[in-house]
Amino acid sequence: MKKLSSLLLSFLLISSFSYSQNQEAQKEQRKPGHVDISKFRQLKQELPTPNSQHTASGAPGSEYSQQQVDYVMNITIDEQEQKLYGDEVITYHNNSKDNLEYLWVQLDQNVRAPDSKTQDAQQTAMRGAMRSAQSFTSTYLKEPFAGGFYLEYVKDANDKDLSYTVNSTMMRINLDKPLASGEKYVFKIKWWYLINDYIKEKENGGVARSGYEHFPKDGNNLYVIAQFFPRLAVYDNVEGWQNMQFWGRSEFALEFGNYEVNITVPADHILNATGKLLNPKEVLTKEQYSRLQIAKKTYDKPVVIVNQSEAEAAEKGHTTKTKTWKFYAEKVRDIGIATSRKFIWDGMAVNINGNTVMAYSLYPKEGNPLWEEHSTRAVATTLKVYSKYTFDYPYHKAISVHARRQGMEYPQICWNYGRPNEDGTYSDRVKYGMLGVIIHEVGHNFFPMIVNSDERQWTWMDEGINSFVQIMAQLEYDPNFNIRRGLPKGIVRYMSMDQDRLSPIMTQGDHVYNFGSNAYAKPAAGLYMLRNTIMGPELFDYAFRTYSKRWMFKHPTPADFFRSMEDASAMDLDWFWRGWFYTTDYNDVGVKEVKKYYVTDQPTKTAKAQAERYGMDLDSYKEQLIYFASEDEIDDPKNMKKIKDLNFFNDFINSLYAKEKNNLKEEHNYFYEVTFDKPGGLVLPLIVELTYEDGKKERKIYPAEIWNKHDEEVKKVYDTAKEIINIVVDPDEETADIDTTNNSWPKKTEENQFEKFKKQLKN
Amino acid sequence: MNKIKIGFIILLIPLLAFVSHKYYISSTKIEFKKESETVQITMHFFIDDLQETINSTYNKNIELALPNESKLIDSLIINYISKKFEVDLNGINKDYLYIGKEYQIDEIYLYLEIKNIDSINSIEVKNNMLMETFPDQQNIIQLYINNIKKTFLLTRQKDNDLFNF
Repeated sequence: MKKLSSLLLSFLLISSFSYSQNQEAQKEQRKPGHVDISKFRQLKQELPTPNSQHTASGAPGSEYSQQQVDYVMNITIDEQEQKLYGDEVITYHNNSKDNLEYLWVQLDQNVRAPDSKTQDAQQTAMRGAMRSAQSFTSTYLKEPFAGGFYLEYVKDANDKDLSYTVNSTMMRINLDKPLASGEKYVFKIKWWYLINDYIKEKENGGVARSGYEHFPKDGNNLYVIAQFFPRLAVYDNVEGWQNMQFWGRSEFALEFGNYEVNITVPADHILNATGKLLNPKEVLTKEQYSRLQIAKKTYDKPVVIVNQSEAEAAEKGHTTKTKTWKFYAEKVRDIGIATSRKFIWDGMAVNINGNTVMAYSLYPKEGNPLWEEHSTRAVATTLKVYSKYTFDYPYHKAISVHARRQGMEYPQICWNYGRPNEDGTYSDRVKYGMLGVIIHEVGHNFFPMIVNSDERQWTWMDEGINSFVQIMAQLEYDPNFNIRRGLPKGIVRYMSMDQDRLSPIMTQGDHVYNFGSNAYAKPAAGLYMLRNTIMGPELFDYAFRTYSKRWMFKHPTPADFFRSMEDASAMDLDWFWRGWFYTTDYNDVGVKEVKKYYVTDQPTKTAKAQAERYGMDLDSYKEQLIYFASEDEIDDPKNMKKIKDLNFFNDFINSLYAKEKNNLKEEHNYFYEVTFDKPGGLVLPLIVELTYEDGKKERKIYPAEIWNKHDEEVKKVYDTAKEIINIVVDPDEETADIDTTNNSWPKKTEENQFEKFKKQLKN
Repeated sequence: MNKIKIGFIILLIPLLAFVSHKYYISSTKIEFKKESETVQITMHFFIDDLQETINSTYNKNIELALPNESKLIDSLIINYISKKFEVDLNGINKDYLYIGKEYQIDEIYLYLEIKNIDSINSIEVKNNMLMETFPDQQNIIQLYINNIKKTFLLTRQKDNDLFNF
């Protein structure tokens, strides 16, 4: 009895349990509500609220202001001691509406100081073995390089010592009283630092952007000098003071200003730097000076100003005398200096919309014959092409300096790699590598030297945008240029990586994985796609030029770029910025299904079923309804009728006026319902190529908005006069589709790269 | 065809060659083809970095990707891979066959193959190629095995990894 009742009970329990389960399930079927999760929702929550400095249109507003910092500097490079000595008078103009309690000065060289936190922040781990006694010594026995700024004084205009606080790569000037809006403040700094051997630094994994290379054969050094002076951080209404340290990767945020710079170096050096050379007659020989004048009028080829035999003679000099090169630079954000006995100097004039700009190169004999042939010409092409897509290059010169293993940009001057073998031979790889880096670094004059975005926060705003324009300049220099970075196809490998190793483009650079792909190649590929696939060159170019011109000599933010591109083109691109810049989503579209239909006047199975459901009598619709029979509803396509075989259809056509009749399209007898699916998270335009039985192809391009109500899959019907034999999505691989195996109907069995190679080997 | 010890293949692509901070990364794709009972390995490096490493390892001064390349280069590459790249399948260290190499712009592809593999339950890959030259070298391994796609990263700190299927 007891047994039975417990059994009964358990049965009841189970059924009541399952009943309540059902109840639960029913309740759960109704999903909770949600906010707007459409891929096309606006970026209102991601972008900062517009204000009168950064407006909703993406342009600088009526109250836009920017600080100005002017410098008067004396710099001496002591080649014996490898020291750089400097003193400067800084004039800080507070153009903001705010009172400033303190000023922040950047001490970038401190990244090389023995107590640099950059080293502390690096992981170290044991390795199984060390390559050589030398690497053991340099890793474990050597004192760290004694780099970093040694400050001799920080004084005000009246030579009174100022209170200051150094925090790693930054220094706070503690003002006695706040600097009022509209006021200026003058102060002085004197310093020195040890110049690093950047080749050694690079070998130890450092990220040298300046220093010297030593040439043991002739005992000379080639100096590329940068971040060499204490300089003001940016203050604006976006970040306040740019208060992020220089960790070695994310670059610089700098104010514009005017610079007077006197640079003293050994008398037998050839030197160039940002700014107008004020005393060419004092530093050049008579002949060199007159060659310079000829170069300024020569538009078709580089003119050698300091030639190789002069450079080779200077290499042997090692004088103890010095010379001072004087420069004045207006409206620049920084200064770079290149100096060496080894420099050959050439230049040519470039016509930028009626203004003459000088393209120069400085290189040691080790760069020849490659450099004399290509460097200055590449500079000239870069200036022309970038000017076309942005604004006329406003500076008077751009210099490409040969520096082994460097690729680094400063206003009007940059360091570039590309050295031939010792016998002067070089491969195409070396040549195109050099051309690529020159075009890239000279291109940086536009982004960020003039369109002065904050590199510390947003690497992509200069590197990504620059890598994009670079593609056009490379193809202009050489139509056969193999573009190695920035095409949508080239970013597929990165975008198909494990999600753990990806970061959105909108990530501060110091903690980005795969920095090169993330901050250079992906934004460049995105802009390439935006121009060529999404907006079209006409709309894109106008908007891109608008952004560039609006923010010349100003500090744009990502929002200013996104907004300007939409504002000037009447294209809502929030979905693109969101997907491509704010997420790590990838694109993958495919042809999921193709259903072919034929016209008939006989009711199909589907039609009959439907009629029954709605209680319709199909017989009463005879000679009225045109049915579409799918492939699996018919016996033999050959027996199928064409539309003109239906009498009532012909009667209707014949009843039309001649004019109406003539306006009708060719008769269509083939109907295809194609389902496109989208396993990837991104939304992008859908590009479809149809191939007909006669081999002719037709391209259909649907805007990204085709996905706005159907994020997973979408159908399209093609009614055609000819049979379709092949359908491919993204046939030219222009949308970075990470899986192309689902892109074709009928499905193509694709050989992978390995199999292709093996087959090729057999042949 | 040269038979060499299987190691792990690394694909090295310096992504930042145009910029001040060159980035060292390579990738190696390992794909199991059940039908043909083979494992296809495609390694991908930046030519300059492989060249620099080969030259310093063997104290040579060779240049890759020149027309009429000498046979010596293949044998150096094979020797180098065999020291740095290892693959264990189902707990057993496997030999791989060097199929050949291919240059594309400034990148080099190396093709290796393991034969007579009817199933894979586990794979261990070691790849410390180029890490002796570039301390920041990261070697990405992409597995396409038993319809599973898996990516992982090898570095100086951890230059091998094991996966069970």
